Amino acid sequence: MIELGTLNPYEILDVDPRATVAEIKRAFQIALKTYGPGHMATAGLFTEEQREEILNKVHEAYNVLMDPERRGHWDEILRQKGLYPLEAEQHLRLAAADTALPIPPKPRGLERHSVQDPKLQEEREQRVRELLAAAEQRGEWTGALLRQVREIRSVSLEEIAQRTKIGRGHLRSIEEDSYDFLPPDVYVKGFLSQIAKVLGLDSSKVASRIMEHIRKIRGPR
Amino acid sequence: MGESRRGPRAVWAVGGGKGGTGKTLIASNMAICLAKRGHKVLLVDADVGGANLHTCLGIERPKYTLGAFFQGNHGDLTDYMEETGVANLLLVSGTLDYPVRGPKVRDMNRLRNALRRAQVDYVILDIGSGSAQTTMELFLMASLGVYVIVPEPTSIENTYRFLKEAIYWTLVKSTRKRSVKSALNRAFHVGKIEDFQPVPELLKHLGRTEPLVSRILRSNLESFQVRLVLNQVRRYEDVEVGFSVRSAVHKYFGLKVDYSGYINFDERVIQCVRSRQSLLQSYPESNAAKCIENLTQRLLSQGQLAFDFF
Repeated sequence: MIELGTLNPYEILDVDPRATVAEIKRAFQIALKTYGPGHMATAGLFTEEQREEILNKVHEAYNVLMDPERRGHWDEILRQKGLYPLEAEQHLRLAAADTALPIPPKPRGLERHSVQDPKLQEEREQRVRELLAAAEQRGEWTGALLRQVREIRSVSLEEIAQRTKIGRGHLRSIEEDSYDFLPPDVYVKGFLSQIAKVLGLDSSKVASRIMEHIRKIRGPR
Repeated sequence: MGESRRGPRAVWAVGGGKGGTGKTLIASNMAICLAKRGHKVLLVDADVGGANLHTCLGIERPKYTLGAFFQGNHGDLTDYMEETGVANLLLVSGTLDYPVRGPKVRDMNRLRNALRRAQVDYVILDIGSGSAQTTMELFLMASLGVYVIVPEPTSIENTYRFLKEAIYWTLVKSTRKRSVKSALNRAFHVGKIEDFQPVPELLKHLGRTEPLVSRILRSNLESFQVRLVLNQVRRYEDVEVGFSVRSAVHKYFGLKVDYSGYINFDERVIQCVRSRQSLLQSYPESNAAKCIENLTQRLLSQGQLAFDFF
């Protein structure tokens, strides 16, 4: 087994340093299963002690990544070492993730309505796709759209504020489409792009569309 | 695409440790998918002993085979390619008439050179199951190794065995030093499974006595790209198995592999095999066909399956 001390929290959880909070939560759940007793991917490979050791690290990494301050500290270390992925790659990754995937069939005879229920998830994703398609069709990209996507994906405003370090007042103004007290355009565009990213949307597209809308309403600043 | 280009943009090998995981299905349909996008594609059936790509494409009796290429003296594969009925897609069929003992080193070198010179955009190699040396050499001939697993303990067990051999051969082929070769052999083939020394530590140890060799090995290993593909997904939880295997490979071997996609179990796949037709042509709207298209797209764009895959 690899020396676990040499891995950073992202590597322990097998997530990208740009992962959203939702992705980290998923990765954590999967890691708990993977290194729990009797999983087919690890049963023949690790001893019980090794699995325990990995699980401890998994919990530790999760706690670090869920704390914005500690996560930020790690990001800084990675940037200094040149290990933080470049922005240019990000667009590639988002573009690749954009192709909609068919959903595996739902397990028969199991009625679950937890967050992981694939049917519910699919319905949610369907609603997000419809919202985006409607916005595109009508040419109406608003801050309210971001709120709708956020609520469908059940991400709290608090979570976005923590991940993006954007003030809650600004976030609310954007979501309520009240643009008068927002800072100049360059800042707002940055905000939009960050929010879209946390929500798992195509950040450059969403940011520029909503920015156009804001400029139309309040005039360029 | 012009004839002036020297060789293919990429060679993808499709392998899998166990028979019946769907290598041939995936190789043939990925090839059709690429061809439909307008790329010129060469599909090579290199499954020594179990060749049946031609059947999947509805060709009853192939005119030429890879076996004939091996027995001949030509350095060029062009004479052994045949049309498939799919535009842009050429096939070199399997080794029906080849002696069972399998190809020799000389054959492998000739094939490698011929693939490098093939006047196509993409080459897809369907390799056999198991982790014998020939299979490994074919897998490592590619610029991208697509490894097919199914969510079953036996398949996963074979995956680790296969990857271990693949890493071993990548390293052994990077050096001529006898002492290093035997050190690698000892490290990879002795001891209990939990005592296996992960690759980064192995290279660090080696670096103390052979710093230059260690550096070459490291860089060759970095160009060793494996993409996991999960086939026969029946339940939502099955998709997660790919993430689990990717994680275990990293923690155990110290090697990062990508999880490029999954393919849903689909009754129509079986119908296609029986009626000797390809899935992408017979049922382009089926769930499994869509999965293969997404997979191909991700392999082209170097993307991975995201954790929020639903």
